[in-house]
Parts: sequence; C-alpha cells; structure tokens
Amino acid sequence: MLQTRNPFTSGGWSMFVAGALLTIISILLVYSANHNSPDPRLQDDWVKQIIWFVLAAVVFFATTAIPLRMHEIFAPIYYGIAILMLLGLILFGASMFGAQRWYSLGAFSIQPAEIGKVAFIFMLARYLTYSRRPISSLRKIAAASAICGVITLLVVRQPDLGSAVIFAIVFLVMMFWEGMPVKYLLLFITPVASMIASSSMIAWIVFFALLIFAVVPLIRSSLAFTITLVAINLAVGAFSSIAWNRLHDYQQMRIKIFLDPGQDPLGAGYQIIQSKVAIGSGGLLGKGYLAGSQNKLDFLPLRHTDFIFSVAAEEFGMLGSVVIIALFGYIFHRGIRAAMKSRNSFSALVAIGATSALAFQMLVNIGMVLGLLPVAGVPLPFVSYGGSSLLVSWVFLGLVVNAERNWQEYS
Amino acid sequence: MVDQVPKTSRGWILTGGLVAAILLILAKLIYLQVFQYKYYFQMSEENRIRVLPRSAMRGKIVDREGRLLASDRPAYTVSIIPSEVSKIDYLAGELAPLLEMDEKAIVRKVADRRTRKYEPVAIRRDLSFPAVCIIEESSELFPGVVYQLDQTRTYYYGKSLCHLIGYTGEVDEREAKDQQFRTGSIIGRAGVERQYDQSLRGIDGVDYLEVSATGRIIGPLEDRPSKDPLMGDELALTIDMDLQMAADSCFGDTLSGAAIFLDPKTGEILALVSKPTFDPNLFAGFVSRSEYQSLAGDERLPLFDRTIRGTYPPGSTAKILTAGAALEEGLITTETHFGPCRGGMQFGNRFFKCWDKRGHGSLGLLAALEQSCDVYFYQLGLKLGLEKWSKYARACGFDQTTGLDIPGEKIGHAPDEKWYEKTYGKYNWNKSVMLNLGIGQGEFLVTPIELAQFYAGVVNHGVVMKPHVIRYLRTPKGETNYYHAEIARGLPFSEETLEILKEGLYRVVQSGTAVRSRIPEVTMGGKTGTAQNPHGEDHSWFVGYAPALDPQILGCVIVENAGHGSTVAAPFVKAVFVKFFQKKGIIKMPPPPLLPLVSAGNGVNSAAN
Repeated sequence: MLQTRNPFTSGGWSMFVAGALLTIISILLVYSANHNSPDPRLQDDWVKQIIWFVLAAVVFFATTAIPLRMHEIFAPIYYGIAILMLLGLILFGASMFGAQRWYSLGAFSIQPAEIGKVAFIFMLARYLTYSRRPISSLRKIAAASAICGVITLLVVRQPDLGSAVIFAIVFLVMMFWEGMPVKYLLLFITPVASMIASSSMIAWIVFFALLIFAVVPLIRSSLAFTITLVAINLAVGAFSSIAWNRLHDYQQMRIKIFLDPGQDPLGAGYQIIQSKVAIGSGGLLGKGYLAGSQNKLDFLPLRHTDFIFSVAAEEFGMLGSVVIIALFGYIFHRGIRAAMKSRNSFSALVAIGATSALAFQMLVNIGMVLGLLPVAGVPLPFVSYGGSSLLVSWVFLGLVVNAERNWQEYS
Repeated sequence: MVDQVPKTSRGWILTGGLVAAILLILAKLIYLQVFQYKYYFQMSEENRIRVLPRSAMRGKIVDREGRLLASDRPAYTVSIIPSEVSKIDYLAGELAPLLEMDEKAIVRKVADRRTRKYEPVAIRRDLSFPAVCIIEESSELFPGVVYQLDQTRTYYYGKSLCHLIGYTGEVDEREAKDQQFRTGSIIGRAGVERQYDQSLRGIDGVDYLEVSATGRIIGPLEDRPSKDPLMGDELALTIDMDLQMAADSCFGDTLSGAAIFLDPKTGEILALVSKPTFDPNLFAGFVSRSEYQSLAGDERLPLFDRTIRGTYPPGSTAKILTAGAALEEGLITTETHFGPCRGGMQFGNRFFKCWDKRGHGSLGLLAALEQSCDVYFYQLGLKLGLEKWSKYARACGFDQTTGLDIPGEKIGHAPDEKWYEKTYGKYNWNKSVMLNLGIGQGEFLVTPIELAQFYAGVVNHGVVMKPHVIRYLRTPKGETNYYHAEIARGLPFSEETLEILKEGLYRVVQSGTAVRSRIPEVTMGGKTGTAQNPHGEDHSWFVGYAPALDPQILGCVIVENAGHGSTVAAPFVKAVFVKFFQKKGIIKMPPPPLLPLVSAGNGVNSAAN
C-alpha cells in the first residue's frame, strides 16, 4: 500500500538538513575547483551539480515515501537491471581514464556501479530475509556470496577496484549484521591478509604462524572448518602473485605509490603528495574560500571529484574538514540507530547496508586523500562532483529515513 | 563457540569500529594541519611561487683617467626550472641545437642542481635574439624553460688587461651552499673581478611570480613585492691605459714575460702586463670545454699571471741587495776594491765566469754596479756570507707577498742555511752557493712584483709601499672611497747606503750596461739583469726609474728567453717611460719608435724630410 506521509516526521528533517549542507558544501567546492578551469567544459560543473541536487531532493522524498516492501518485491528486477547495465558497459561504455564506468547521456553521464550499490543492497537484504536457512549455514553464505560476487566481478572488470572494495565491505557488514558467526568473517578477511602478506615470504610465514597458533585456537572451531580456513588462505596466498600480474599497470602503481609516495614525486605519487600539501597547508582555518593555491593553480588532481575533500581542507582548514566529518558522523549515527530500532529485518538490513555504503565510501575517500589508503577512485558521498554518486547518496539517505520512520512495522 | 552476537551489541560494535576509523582520520588531519602545517604551507608556497632573481648590474671598471675597461651589457639568459621538467633528456635534445650546446652539458647542468629545484638553473648566457624568439613562440614545447634579460660582462681592452682584471664565472652548486650565493649568479673568478667582487657584484633583486601547476605565470605576487636589483660599485684602477698599451705592445705577440710600472712613492700600479694573454670575454658568456682546454693546455701558459705568480732568478738586479747588505754591515765602503776580474775568477776547483769575458779589472762598488761585474759580487757575496745575506733578503721582503690587491700572488725563494741543509744534507753544500746568490742566481727566486716593490723601496728612501691597482670605489649614489696608500715595510738600509745604491743605479743608465736606454730629457736610474735559465735562453731583466733624483715612475720588466737585460728589457722600460713623460709634457718631441727594429725605416724618412 502506498501511503503518503510527511517525510520530516521522526527526524527526517534533520537528516535532510545534514545531506543538504553536505551538498551545498559540494556545490561551493565544485565552483571553487572548476569555475576558472582552463577546460571550459568543466567551468559549469557547479551548475550541473545544482541541477543534480534538485533531482536528488525529489528522489530523496520519493525514497522516503515509497514503502520499503515495494523494493523488497522488486529487488531481483533492480538487481537484474544493474547486472545488465554493467554488462552493457563492457560493450558500449565510454572509456575514461582507462576504465569503462560511464554511460554518456549528452552533458550528463550515468555510472552503473553506483546504481548497482542500491540494487545489491536490496537484493542481499531480500535474500537474507527470505531464506529460511540459519545464517550459519554454509549454503546460505555461499548464495549470499554469489549475489555479491557476480556484481563485484563485473565492477572489477571495468575495472573499478574502489567500488569493488565497497561492495565487499557492505556485504561483510550486512552478513555480520544478520548474525553470521565471527569465525565465518575470517573466511573472507584472512584471505585478504594472506594476499597482502604474500608479497614477502617472511611476512607470509609470520601470517600463517599467527593464523594457526593464535586465530585457530581462539575460535575453537571444528577440524573441518580449520582445514578449510587454512586451505583457502594457502590457495589465495599462492595465487595472489598471479593475480598481481593480472592487475593493470596503473593499479599496481597505485598500490606501490601508496606504500611509498615519495618514489616518484612528479609521476604517480604526485596526487598524494599534492593532496597532503593542500590539506596540511590549510591549517586550522584554511586559506579562505576561492583562495586555495593548490586548488586554483591546478596542483590538485581530480579536485572536483576524488580529491574534493582536499579542496575543503585547504580553503576551510581543519574547521571545515571537521564540519564535513561531523555531518557524516551524524548521518551514520542515525543510520545505525535506525537499523537497531527496526523490527523489520529487511528494513534493518537496508538501513545498515545504506549506512555502511556511505560510511566506507567516506572512510576510503578521506583515507585516500590523507594518504592513509591507496588511491582507489572512490568518490566522497554527497560532496564529490558527479550526478550518479550524488543521487545514490541521497537514495541511501532516504532509505535510512524511511527505515527509521517505519521502525514499528513488522515484516 | 564464538557465535551469534546479540543484535544491539552488533550495532555497538559497528558504531565502535566507525568511531575508531573516524578518530584515526581526525588524528591524521590534526597531524597534517596542525603539527605539519608549517612544512606543508611552505611546500604550497614553493609550489605556487616562482622566484625569479634579477641579477644586479656588475659595477664597471675604469682606468685612472676614467676610460671604460669593463662593464655589463644586456644579454638574454636561458634557464631551466628542474622541478618543472619531467623528461630532461628529451628536453635537452630539443634545446641543444637552439642553444648551440652539447646535449649532455644541458643535462649535467640541470642534474647538478640537487636542492631548490623550483629555482631556475642558468643554462646558456648571451643567447642570440632570434633563438630567444623561437623559445618564446613555442614555449609549450619547452616546459620549464624560461629566459630573461640579463647582463654579460664585456672587457673592452680584452687581452691587454686579462690577468689584471681577471674574469667572472657562474656560482656552482657547491659554492652556493658554502657562500650563500645563488647558483648561476656571477662572481669574480680572477684578478680584480675576484678581489673586489663584494663591491662590484651589487645586490640581486628578485621577482616573485605566481605560477600554476603547468608553469603558466598568473602574475606578480600581491603579498610579496619585488625587490629591485642594486648595481655594483664602480671600480677605478690606478692603471693608465696609455702606459698599459705601450708596455703590452712592446712584447708583441711572440714574447713572453711580465712588465710592472708603478709609482714608487704611493705603490700605485700604472701598468701591469703578463704575456702571453687570453681573451677574458671568452669566460663572460660560456666557455666551451674545448676552448678552455686549448687555453689551459697552451704550452706558453697564457692563463698564467707572470707578474705575481712567475718566479725567476733576479740575476744582476739582485746585486744591490748584496751591495746594500755589505754596506750596512760595514764590510765595504765605496772605496773597497776586490781582486781583479779577468773575465771570471777561480774558486776552489771551479772557474766562475763574469758575463764580460774581457774582464773588468779591479773595481770599486759603484763601478762594479755600473758594469755589473760578476767577479766583484762573487767576492762580496763570499765576504757577506749566507747567514747575513739571507737575513737581509728576508728583511727586504723576498720571503713574503707584496700585498698587491690581485689574488693568487706567489712568494719567491730566499734560501738560508737551514734550507740548504734540509735540501742537500748537512755536508753536501758549501760556501760557494754564496757566489751565485751574490749575483742573483742559484736558488734565489723572485716574482716580478717582489722585485719591483724592492726597487721602489730603494728609490723611495727605504720606505716600501704596498702596491695596489685600486684607486677608488664609487657607489651608485656617487659616494667615492679612495684607497689610501699603505706602507708595507721599511728596508734595512740607512739613508747613506741608499744614496750609494742610487748613485750606482744612476751610473748604470748614465754610462753602464743600460746606457742605450738613456732618455736625454729625463735622468734615469736602473739595473739590468740576465737570469740564467737552465731550460733555454736567459731571461732578460731591467728595473728602472725616473727621474733619478725624484722618481715618479718605476718599471720592472722581464722578458723570457730574450738574453741580456740591456738589449731587450731596458728598451721596453724606456718606451713606457717616454710615453709617461710625454703625457707629463716633459718630453715634447714626437715619440720615438717603441720598437726601433720594426719602425726604423720611418725614422729615417722623417729625418730626411
């Protein structure tokens, strides 16, 4: 049943304000970054961002109004469309920066990976809610992994490692939320550690020593599980060197540069160094709006998209950075609270999925511009320039508000 | 089994993880924006600010009559900003033909810069205007290449003043670190350019420009005003170009040697010539390796400043040192006669020759000086003894520099007993060394400037002035600081001794070995010398001064491998003296030919007319 309710009851209003503040900051920063860009096509980006904001507001209200049960029903269709769009990208997508991530529609472009995030959350939430098997069942875990795996592989194929990481993290958080035993999380997390450790033989040996003598006794699990865990780790570690060679040069480079940004200050490490210079030179109160030299003199790369936080930190200083982080913090707090409050398993899963998608994109993006994480090409929700990202951020916000408002409804 | 976590706990675990991650981000933010703020702010300033130094005009150099000897003229300098060049090899390949330079030389210059990579490195000075136009028009092709109007040093009397004025060069990376100069700026490398570099250099100005990441210049920085360069001081030398040219032309292109003319009363150098010469303008633009090597490898040593670095046996010019010491010690009077000269004398089992095989007979001191009789001075030397001789030689300044204000002066060699013992062993030398030292041969070595200073002291009542080439420094505002003559030392000779020596020197020109260099209008004193040279023909010395009773000019000339002092060096001194006294109006007749041999024909013709 479609009921029209005031979206601003039960705290919807303050969530709208938080999202709107972030989007207004975004418009200001995009203007600052691009209004006198040498490329005339970029000069009007801030106007486009305003148009997207209007669209996003409409979508937000719609999302808060449409009952989540509707999405529960249509989830497989959304998921199917997202998969088809990602497949289509491989055939027709516009190629930018060596990756196929866009559908071009005149002046605008659509990023299927962003839409895929919404569809994926719905699909996984639906499956976890519908399946009657216990969450500890390996079959259920395998099926859920498949839902995540298909879409993640298609994203990796673009290639868009950053989005793929977000899919994986959202999946783990949702599985954890649904109650998957911690030891099963190890099945997903330890292979990553094994992969990283396999870059050096000594690190790999230390890793396995820790795994066998510390982790395994701690979880006190069955022999079968233990053997599976160790076998997976062995396999992943052994094949990761092959996987490494299959990565694109620029992906390998990003990881290398992350480990040592100084090794090529004018080449690939340039982005991280210039971003840190912009952030550090902002100081407590910043250089002032439109006065960031790193920004306006082109030293910051991709400054209206991936590195927009650096523009904020340079021009508004620590004060501006903390305001942005605080607005996000407020949204996350509300998202987790909504999930905890909800009596409806699907709503709760959607809320936690949406929140974790926003949260980890924000953490990965800011971690990246601060030099804490490799350059991964993940946008900052609400703030980075880009219609798809902005729309989807507002959809996530709307889903959280919807779940929070309807917490009393049982499934 | 660690299993199902209750739902509320799961919420708190997620919240806790999120808070931890955000705290980590905040910590890094505080680290960057608070603790490392200054470092990163400096880096962002370095990013956006291009510091373009504006070289100060180097002060001009003039002679004592205000004639321009050296000045800066405008020229284009092309520089590369290392931080803006990613492929230097490629860029060097593109630039090399345009700059007429070696590709590797460009790469090396840029690679040499290890710090401050955002400041331009001067690659090529004095680039032609068309080449500058090409760079300007295709600046997109040459990222990080900038050019600016700069100055290049020009020497108007190039070769004839090369050792005296010296030349300039670029500060290299190491010097820039040690001395706080800017790499690529110009400093004096030799001669007075080096000696008075501080004053000549001026103070560089600087433009602060804002630039974009691609090197596009946005404009001057608003918060940092440009500083205009301040021109260096004008340096006036005591050199008289007329005399300098006269002295220089005596040598022609083939003779090597040195000539020093000075005012014995003040120590002012009037002319200072070392031959052969080189063109200092070569060093002003950029010297190619091959050009430099051909200069440095020339066996006539054109880069070698003989006036202050050449050490020669003084030959007979040193006889007044022996005479003065003996007189002062009371060993002789003018009446004392020694054993007769029979074209030489027997000492031990060796016959020591006099320069005149015919012999001079038995002479007194004045006649011995006049005729430069070696036999007299062999015996005088023996009588004086090594200990006393070396004491006087050192008191006369032959063991120290003269203090001339040109860098690189060497000290000659006045040996003593210790030196002989050290060099030859205690018993492997004997008193016979004094025979040689007494006539200015053997191990006794002097630089031309030392000998000139000594003679200037002898004719200036024993007061030895510090020789100098600086007359004054004048700031751009017009404040003039004159150099005040300084006394270097006093000679260990009494007025009576000096009078006797001067009498002897007067006779040398009046009726002695230098009689052919007499000038009718002006009385003159002097001493010829012939320095034995084991490597070839003897060196020809002459030290002269005029007028004899009140000397205004003293000249000291050595011509390498030219034979007797009287035949070559003395006429050179005479030629310059004639020029000097013509300028004073004392000699009124048309100048006699400088080199009689070359222009003898003209003289005959004018006489016939």
